[in-house]
Amino acid sequence: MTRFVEVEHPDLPDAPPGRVPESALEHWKKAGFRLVEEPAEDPATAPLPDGEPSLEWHRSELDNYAHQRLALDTTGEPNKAEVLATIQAAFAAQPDSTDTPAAGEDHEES
Amino acid sequence: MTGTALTPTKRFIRPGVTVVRFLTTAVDYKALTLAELNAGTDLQPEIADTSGWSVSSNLVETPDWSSRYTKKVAGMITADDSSLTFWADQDGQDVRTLLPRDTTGFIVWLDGGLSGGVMDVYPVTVASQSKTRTATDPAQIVIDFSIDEEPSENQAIPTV
Repeated sequence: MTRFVEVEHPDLPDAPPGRVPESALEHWKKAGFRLVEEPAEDPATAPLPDGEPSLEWHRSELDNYAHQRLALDTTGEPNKAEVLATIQAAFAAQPDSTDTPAAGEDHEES
Repeated sequence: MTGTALTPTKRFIRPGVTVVRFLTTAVDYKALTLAELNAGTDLQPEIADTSGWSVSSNLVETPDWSSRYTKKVAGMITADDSSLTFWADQDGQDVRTLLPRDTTGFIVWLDGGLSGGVMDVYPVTVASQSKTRTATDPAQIVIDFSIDEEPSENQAIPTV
């Protein structure tokens, strides 16, 4: 089944997004179109996977976990391993691992 | 007494003149802008043949008892079943990636080329792709289109 994506052109601000097959996305990019980005999920309310954070998680899930549980902004970390290390260090620095996420703000280090 | 003659025509055959362009989006297909036209894809370099792309109207009989002559009125307007036939690529890098089934957009016929004055615009959806398979003829792909809305005929080609 063909997957379609939405594209927009900077010279056509009033036109509705074009619906093009994903297989032709590079073609349309050459014509000046760009992919319409889906709005990013709010990190404060995004659902998290079950279990402990690990490298199996998506990058966005790790960032959202750090935001929700530790009030940390890890979006500047270069990769998932660094995000995970930051999360683990923040938990280790907490006197009680059951602290509220807000308590993590005082232990922001990597 | 002489009548007024039609303006003499500059006659042409289509290869090398007619431009067929596919647009993925437009604000109003009955009044395309130059930017919308420029954002389209030229199809004619790979077109081998075409079918349809014309609008017609049937005639409806309206007889009455005033005479034996059967009067007629213009009936419903329809567009013929339309398709474009393209050359196929041995590695699959051809029109099949650009126009798979269910792709929507606009086929623009610039019959006299980009400076030809007028164009026809057909809102379309790709209904099917079919591949011709014979022993001796070069491989082709036929794209069948449904024409979803009333075509805009003889629309002025935008210049700005």
